[in-house]
Amino acid sequence: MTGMRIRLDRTICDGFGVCAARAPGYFSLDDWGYASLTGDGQVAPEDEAAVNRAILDCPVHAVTVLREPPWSEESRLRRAVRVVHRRPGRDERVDLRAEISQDHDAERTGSAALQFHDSKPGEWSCH
Amino acid sequence: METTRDVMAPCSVAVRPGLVGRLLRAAPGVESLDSYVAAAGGYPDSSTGGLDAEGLLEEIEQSGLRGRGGAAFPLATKARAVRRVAKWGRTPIVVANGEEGEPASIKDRWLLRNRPHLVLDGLRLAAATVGADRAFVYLSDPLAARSVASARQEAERAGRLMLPVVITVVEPAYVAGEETAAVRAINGGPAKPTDKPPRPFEAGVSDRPTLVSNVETLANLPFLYRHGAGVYREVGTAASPGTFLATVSGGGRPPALYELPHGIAFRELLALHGVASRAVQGVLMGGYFSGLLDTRALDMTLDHESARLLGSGLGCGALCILGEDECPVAVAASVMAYFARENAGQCGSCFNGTAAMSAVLGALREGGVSTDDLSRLRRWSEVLRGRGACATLDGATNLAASLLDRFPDSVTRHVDGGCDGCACSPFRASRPFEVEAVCLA
Repeated sequence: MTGMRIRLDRTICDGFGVCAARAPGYFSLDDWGYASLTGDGQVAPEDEAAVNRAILDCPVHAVTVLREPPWSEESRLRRAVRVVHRRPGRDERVDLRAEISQDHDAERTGSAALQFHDSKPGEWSCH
Repeated sequence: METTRDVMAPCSVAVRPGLVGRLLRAAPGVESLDSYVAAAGGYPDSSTGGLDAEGLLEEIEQSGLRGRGGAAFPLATKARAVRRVAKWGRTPIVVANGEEGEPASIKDRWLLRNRPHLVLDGLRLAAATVGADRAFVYLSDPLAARSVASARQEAERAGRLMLPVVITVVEPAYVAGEETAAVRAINGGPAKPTDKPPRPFEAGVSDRPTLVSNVETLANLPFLYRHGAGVYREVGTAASPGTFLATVSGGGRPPALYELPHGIAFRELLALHGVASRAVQGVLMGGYFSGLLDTRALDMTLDHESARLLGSGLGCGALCILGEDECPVAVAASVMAYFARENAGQCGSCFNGTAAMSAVLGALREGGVSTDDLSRLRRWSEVLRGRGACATLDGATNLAASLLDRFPDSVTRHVDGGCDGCACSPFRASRPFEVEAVCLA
């Protein structure tokens, strides 16, 4: 995954509804006007301007941009490519990308579960 | 059947006949260090011994051990995620989550009160697995806190604990048991959930990668460490291996805590508990979380897959049996009122949604709703799913949806104003099937 990723903190949202007005494809409001993300927070490049507007206009700053953590697959792949370019002709010139992708395979199953489990009975509960 | 009366919570405790208890023990009272070491071969080495962290993690992975807090999330996946983040120079922290906010469950409290060394040993092994240098036991029960504190002192003096263990005590609350609430409370904040991301494995206690694991999950590790994944898998099903603790309440019988193999027939549990199948009208699954099941529950087996096939979940293993004289509408109304009262009050969708659904169910119990109200309830049970930072709102939607799906006749009876049971004896328990209160009453 590349590009912009956003996060909505629903414990902060006060139901102004500005986000859904600015970027309706990314935010949905409930009967009382409180927002949730429609997707997983991944923003298409062509929508970045609208989503940025939503971020800037939220009166309580409930929407923020997620920085890609250094342990994410994307960050690691980016670094792996850099290593290859930086040290030409050396033994260290190993393409780590396959290894990194493999490393994340087991994780991916878990992450997928982490994303949907909140709404499925039996997948998660408070205790 | 080995049955004993627990000293601190007089709730009967039993291991299924023919099964060797891995988590429960028959002897009453708090297990001392000596008896733990003698009986279970506990705290086997001063470190993880010949089994390195990777080896132990491999065993956990092979065993397929799933979290017992309700999500049934594979422990190995969680531990690997913590270790991956830890590679970026941040030493992990391990948290034993013993804050059992679920009123219908008593298993974690029982383990902490009666077998604190089993939990501490498991915590120590989990810490070795991820390379943690600090551990926390997070709980609210004062008896459990006292028991763990004295066990910690005992183990420290004997040089068995390999890392500092901090006990964090919070006020009991339904939402306090959620893993991000545990992290937030340990970090000095209120014991209320935070929105994700980040999850504790990314940024938990002191912003370090944190493995938060239920105490029953941790209590499985000493057995796994000693016997290996093969023996661990001898009991249970392929996808839900091992034994689990089930808190069974309702059905006109005193509540009980059982250790059962995953995959046991629900009818067998009913027989063990002394409840006739024909007297069962339904079950409230996974404590208050996974919603109601009708008599179709009678033919299920108790493992995560079968429960999921029925559109429900085993959750934390708390099963509340609805007897013949209990009206599902009244139970749902009481549980929904509990959600409306005990939610964290943070997410607008949750505090509004639970209040609105509770208003409809409360009115339904009294026979004063229109079909419009019911269609609103139906819609909320669908659109509000997944709209909270934690799963409380999902528990509430599970409850509403399952009542409408599984007990349409009871609902219709209430709409027509003809539920005899509710008319003459309204079911107004503020915490239906609450185990501790029932036990101590």
